[in-house]
Amino acid sequence: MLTMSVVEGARWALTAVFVLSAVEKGQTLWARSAAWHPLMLVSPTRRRYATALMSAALIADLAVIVLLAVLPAIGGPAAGALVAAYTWLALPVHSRGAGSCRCLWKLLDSKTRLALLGRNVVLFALALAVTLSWSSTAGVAGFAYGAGLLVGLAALVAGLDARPGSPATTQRQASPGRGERASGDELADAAYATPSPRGGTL
Amino acid sequence: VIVNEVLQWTVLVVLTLLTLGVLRQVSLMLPSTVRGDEGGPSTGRHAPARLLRELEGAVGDAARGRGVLVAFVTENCVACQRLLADVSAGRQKLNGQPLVLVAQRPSDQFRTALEETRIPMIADEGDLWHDCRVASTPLVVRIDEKGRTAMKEVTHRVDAVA
Repeated sequence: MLTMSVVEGARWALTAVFVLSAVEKGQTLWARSAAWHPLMLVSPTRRRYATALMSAALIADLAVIVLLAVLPAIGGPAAGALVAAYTWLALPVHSRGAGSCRCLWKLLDSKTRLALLGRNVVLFALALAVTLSWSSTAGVAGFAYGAGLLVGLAALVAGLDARPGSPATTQRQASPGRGERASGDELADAAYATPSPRGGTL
Repeated sequence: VIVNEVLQWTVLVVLTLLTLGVLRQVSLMLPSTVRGDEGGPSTGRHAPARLLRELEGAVGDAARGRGVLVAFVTENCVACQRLLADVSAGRQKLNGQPLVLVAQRPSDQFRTALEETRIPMIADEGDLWHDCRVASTPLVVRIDEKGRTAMKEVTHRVDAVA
């Protein structure tokens, strides 16, 4: 019984993750800025077909969300396959020092390669659990387990990103909706600009 | 029972999102003077000399007489993406003022993408960022023809500052 609730939780968690993924893509497509997404900046080919690629990925995300809800026997493997594909696509982002893959609408975003791998391995394991022992009823009992799994996943990503010496510890942090805000340390370090004594002009 | 549970949670999530949305709108309506410090060079004062030198190198004489718009952008910020997509597609009217993009330590791919826009670009190693006290991005600054900071705003709408 407990196992089934945990598997249901995995199903809820995976669904929530793919909803976040779809929202991220939808927002980017809505702003017509797919070509500037860190995942698309990786190569000229991705940039050229950024809108088409992101639209296709959005459709795949939505399909997985529906399948996880109504047909988990197919939704589980589909989610696992998509997680594996996204991992392969996102790895170059960290190797070129971009700072963040801007995945999952910033809520479960990874800033280092290790955090990306750790998070996606957990997601793959959740997809595997749903595939192997899914329940035909979409019960609410697993909802709390799903929320717990997501919180645990967020803690894992944050922990891996915040390891001493990790590049992520020097990255700028999010200011939702309005861009990026520097960390407190950066603000404290920033001295006020001294006006040019001679008042330079253009 | 299950349907009721699901509906209750759905209503709770929707209400939370609506509350957050309202708070965001309220904060956006506040005048910039009462918002938190968004950084950037002080309005009405001369821009940092280093920035003026870099701008001179980037746009040359084009800025004399009209001033120049400067957009500080980073690779991972959502609003910067939107700004870059809009200005590179010519979707914003800048009143004829030249625009210069300042990117902090851009990756090779980001630098290439910026160069493809044909908008003058400065790749900053952190000095300009520090001198201009950039705390949030995308920070858009309008420098007048005398080298003073005429206006600044953290926004993806460059035309709002032009």
